[in-house]
Amino acid sequence: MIHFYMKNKEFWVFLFFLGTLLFNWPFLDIFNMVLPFYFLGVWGLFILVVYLVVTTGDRKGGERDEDV
Amino acid sequence: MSIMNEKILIVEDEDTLCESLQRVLRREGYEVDIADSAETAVRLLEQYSYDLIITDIILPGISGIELIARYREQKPGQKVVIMTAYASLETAVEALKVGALDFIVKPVIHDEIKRIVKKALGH
Amino acid sequence: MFKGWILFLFILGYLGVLFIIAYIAERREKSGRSIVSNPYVYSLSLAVYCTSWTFYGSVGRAATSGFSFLTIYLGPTLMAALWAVLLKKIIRIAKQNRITTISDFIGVRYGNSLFLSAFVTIVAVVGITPYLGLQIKAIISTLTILAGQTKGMAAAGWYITLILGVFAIIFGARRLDSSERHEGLIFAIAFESLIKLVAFLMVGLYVTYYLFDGFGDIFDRIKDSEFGGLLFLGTGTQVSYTEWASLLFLSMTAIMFLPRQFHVAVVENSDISHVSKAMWLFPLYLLLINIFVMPLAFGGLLLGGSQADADIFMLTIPLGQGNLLIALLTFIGGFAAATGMIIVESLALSTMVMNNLIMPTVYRFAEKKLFEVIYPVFIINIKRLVIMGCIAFGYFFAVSVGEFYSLVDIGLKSFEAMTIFAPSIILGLYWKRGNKKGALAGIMAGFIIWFYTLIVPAMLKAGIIDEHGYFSMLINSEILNPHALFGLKGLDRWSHSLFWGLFFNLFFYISLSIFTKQDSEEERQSLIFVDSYTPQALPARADYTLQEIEAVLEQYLGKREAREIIDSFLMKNRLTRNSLAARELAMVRDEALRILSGALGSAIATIILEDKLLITEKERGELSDSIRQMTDTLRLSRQELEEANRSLAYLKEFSENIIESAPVGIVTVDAHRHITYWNREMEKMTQISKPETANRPVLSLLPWIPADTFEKNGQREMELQTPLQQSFKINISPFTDPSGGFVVIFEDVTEKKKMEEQLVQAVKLASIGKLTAGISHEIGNPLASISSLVQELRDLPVEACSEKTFFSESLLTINSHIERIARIVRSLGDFARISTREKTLSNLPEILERTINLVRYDKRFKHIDLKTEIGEVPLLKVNPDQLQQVFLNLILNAFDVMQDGGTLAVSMRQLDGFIEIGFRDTGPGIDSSVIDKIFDPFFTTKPLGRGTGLGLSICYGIIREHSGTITVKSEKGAGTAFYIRLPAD
Repeated sequence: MIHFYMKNKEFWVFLFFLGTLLFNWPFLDIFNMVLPFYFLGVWGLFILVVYLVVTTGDRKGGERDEDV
Repeated sequence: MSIMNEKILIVEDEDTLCESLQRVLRREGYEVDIADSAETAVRLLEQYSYDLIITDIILPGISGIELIARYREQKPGQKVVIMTAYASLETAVEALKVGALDFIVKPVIHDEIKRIVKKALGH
Repeated sequence: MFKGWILFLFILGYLGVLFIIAYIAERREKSGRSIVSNPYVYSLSLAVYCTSWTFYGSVGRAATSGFSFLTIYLGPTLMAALWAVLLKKIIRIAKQNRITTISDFIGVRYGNSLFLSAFVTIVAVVGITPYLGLQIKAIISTLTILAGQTKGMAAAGWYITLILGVFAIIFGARRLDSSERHEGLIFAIAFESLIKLVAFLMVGLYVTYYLFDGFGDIFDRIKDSEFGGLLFLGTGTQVSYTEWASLLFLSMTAIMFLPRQFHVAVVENSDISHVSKAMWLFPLYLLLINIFVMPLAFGGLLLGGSQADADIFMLTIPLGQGNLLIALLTFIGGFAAATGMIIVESLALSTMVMNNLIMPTVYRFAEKKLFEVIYPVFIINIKRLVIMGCIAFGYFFAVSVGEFYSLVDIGLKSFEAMTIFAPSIILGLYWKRGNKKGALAGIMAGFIIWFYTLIVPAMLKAGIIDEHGYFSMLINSEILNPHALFGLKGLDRWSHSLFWGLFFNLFFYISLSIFTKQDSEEERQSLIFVDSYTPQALPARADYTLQEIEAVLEQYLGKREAREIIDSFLMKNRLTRNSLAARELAMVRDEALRILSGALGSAIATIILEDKLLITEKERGELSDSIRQMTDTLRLSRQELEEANRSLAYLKEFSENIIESAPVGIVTVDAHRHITYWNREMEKMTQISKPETANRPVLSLLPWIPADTFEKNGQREMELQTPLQQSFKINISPFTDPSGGFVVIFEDVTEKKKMEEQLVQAVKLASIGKLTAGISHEIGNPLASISSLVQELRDLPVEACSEKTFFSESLLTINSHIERIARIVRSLGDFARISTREKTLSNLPEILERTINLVRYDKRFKHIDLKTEIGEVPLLKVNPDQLQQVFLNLILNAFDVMQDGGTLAVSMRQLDGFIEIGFRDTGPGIDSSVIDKIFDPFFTTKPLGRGTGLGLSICYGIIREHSGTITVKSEKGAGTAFYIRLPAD
């Protein structure tokens, strides 16, 4: 299933917009009190998600690099 | 006075009628034997000879017509009168074919049968 | 503090290491065991993004405006998620089309426009060079600090710059082909990225855990200090959310479009699969290098530094603590950061300048003969010069103007400049309509806005330009105020510039792309970029001549046409026939390919030009043969297809014909019991025409069909009556098709039924006929008996009392005969009546008895022994006349075969759910060869004229109508037994 995400451009676009949202006004206001932790946490999480999807995608079937 | 009694054989499977006709003809002075089927008639005919045979057509077993036809082979001059409930042209024709002298239609009228018998016997 | 010359030596040593590393990497690449072609080096090379801005500027910014520095790194992190889609596509296209710079990318996309790429180059140079200069400034100033001097060590800076230039030349411009990769260079860059990270982390650790007690300690103390506001964002702080968002956007475009980033990410990429790992490795690097930024900034502030000097906290803190080692480490890190940027950026910029500005100019104006002789040497040295030039230009900028601006400020201005390229690249990749005019207009508009809103104010502030006259009016106007264009106040300058820049950029790009047309070149290029259309790879082979190309064109276009094409192409590109370089020849070939594609289609054109330029006569013959074969086969297939189509139409007509002409009514019904087909015979039979039936429910059209007929599965047959006194036999079969539905076949059996009845009647009459003789006898005899007795009685004398017995006996006899007659007459009366079709609840034994009575007294059958065994059976709904007919028939048949006597046993009993009536005779039996046929109509074993042969078939029919069965068991010589079974419902 994660392999599917790797090939699926929509997933990356979604992740991009989600990340952008998380690092902008509504959420930054919410977490204004604990910004250091928030940044560290969400940033780290973001990287982790990318890492997970990329590595399992690779393991499953390797790259097929179709153009999107 | 003692005319030699003429012998008549009535072949008829209806008992009541048979017996009645026997009585009637006996009263006329004839000697009457009855048979209720062609087979019985044949047995009687082997023993006796009759001056006249009155027979119904429809009998159990062999029909009356058949009986006459066969007997006539033996005794060509045998006088026969046919009795039948069913009067049709065919019957008449058949009767004539076997050489019947006359035929009576049932129900039998006594006067008529007496007359026909007398005529058949040549009186 | 360090002694100046020690520092200098140190720097030289560092650079020496750099050289060695690069050299080793190159050697390894040549021998095939590359240490650079892996995703880790690739990701580290991407970290050239982190310049001295990251090293010093972040801390400075954190001290003045809190978290806003993070946007510069969050942007690339987010963008990295899109690399799977975006970057891979860009790399693929760039490799396919041999694109080596960002200006090339844009130029090639929009119809190979040299003008556009030139313009992009100019924008890039204007935008980036200040930034480059600032790196040099950083080196100089940090060197100054470390050496304890107050005045700038400009000379040292100059030497260093030179060395960097040499480095860039050696490892970046050794060969002419700029599309080749520079493994040595990249390895050095990656190495520097590592140094940067390690240095920063070390310094961070030092300050956070050695000078303070960890993160908590620093953050708590800052919160309590006057700088507490730095921990927050938004209203009330230095950074509005708008500014935050704009900065985020800026860094997103920067990571993609900075020339140095394009170079390391796209041009130097050796394997697209590396991008996948880079997608998380690079953000991880960014995360790590930024962990200690805030602690460092706050630490500095807490240690008494001022916000204005925050830029150099990295150095001043350890120096202030007397820790020279850490300070040196910092310096090295910052040095690595700056030099990395300088080397790669100058290489990238110089390539752009070379390819898009200088070379075209040279082509245009140089003397042909001179040109071709010195071509290779000439070009490569020009490139080297340009590299040096870029760096030098940056140096001068740094020395003269750089004093007035902060690192971050200039950096952000460069980032803003990069957004100018965003619409034409991003939209160019996904929107085929995007065209050259739009791109040009958009970039121009964006550039003008950028320059006016960001550069002009800076120049004013620096005193480079003065405010007077018209210019002053312009600046201070309501609408065209550089700080609030068109009256848009309230935005920070980055958001303001970004908004208007993008607005006009997009506006022009989109509107011009929609309202102007593309030429064919643009179309082709847009296909290549957007749809990844890959024209056949055209190998750059030089083993053909212009003559050969022309000859091929001749073959397909004609001699004159071919010559014209070649001539005009050469003229347009200022080339001559006899002196074409390999590169130019390739251009001619491409043009020939393009022309041929128009005439023959690109596939064939490519084949023709690809391997051999000339195909031999034989090959040409074979080619045309196979083409002819293909068209023949196609034509044949088409014919066969037409044939098949005709046959199909005929078959359809045929089958429809069959259904229409069938002598039975055929109706098809769908799963909802609506009529889907109604043939001609149905129209005749029911007087309902086809149009009236279309899709009507069948049960409303033919209400005399029971409602549950279509509920059950399986094929069924039934006989039905219509209100119009018609009889229909219908046969219903469900369709095997899963969509359901039924096909119903209607047969008008009214006539047949009538005939059947007549037949029954006739047979009955025949039976009667058979009986007539018997009946006459049956009645005639008793009648004769009665008559004779009555005549006797009449002739008796009145007084004869002796005959009294005879009298009474005779009367009794007469009475019994009369009764006999009465019985027969009654039976006959019943029998002769025309039988009805109705079934009524009847007493079966009574019917049987009556039948038997008809024959019991028939003297013909006197020798037949009639045994009856009639048991208790329930009343049954039957047609009494018809059953009587059956019984009579069977009895008479038995009598017929037992002419010489026998026994007929008639039985009736109830057995399971049936009433069984048996007729067993002791006749001669039925031969096994005929036993199966006895129920057949007209089958008889009696001699001609005597039997009608209908009796048993009619019996069969009657019993079947009573839902019963009639069976026969017989063996020759062993008698016959008929068994009738009627269901006792």
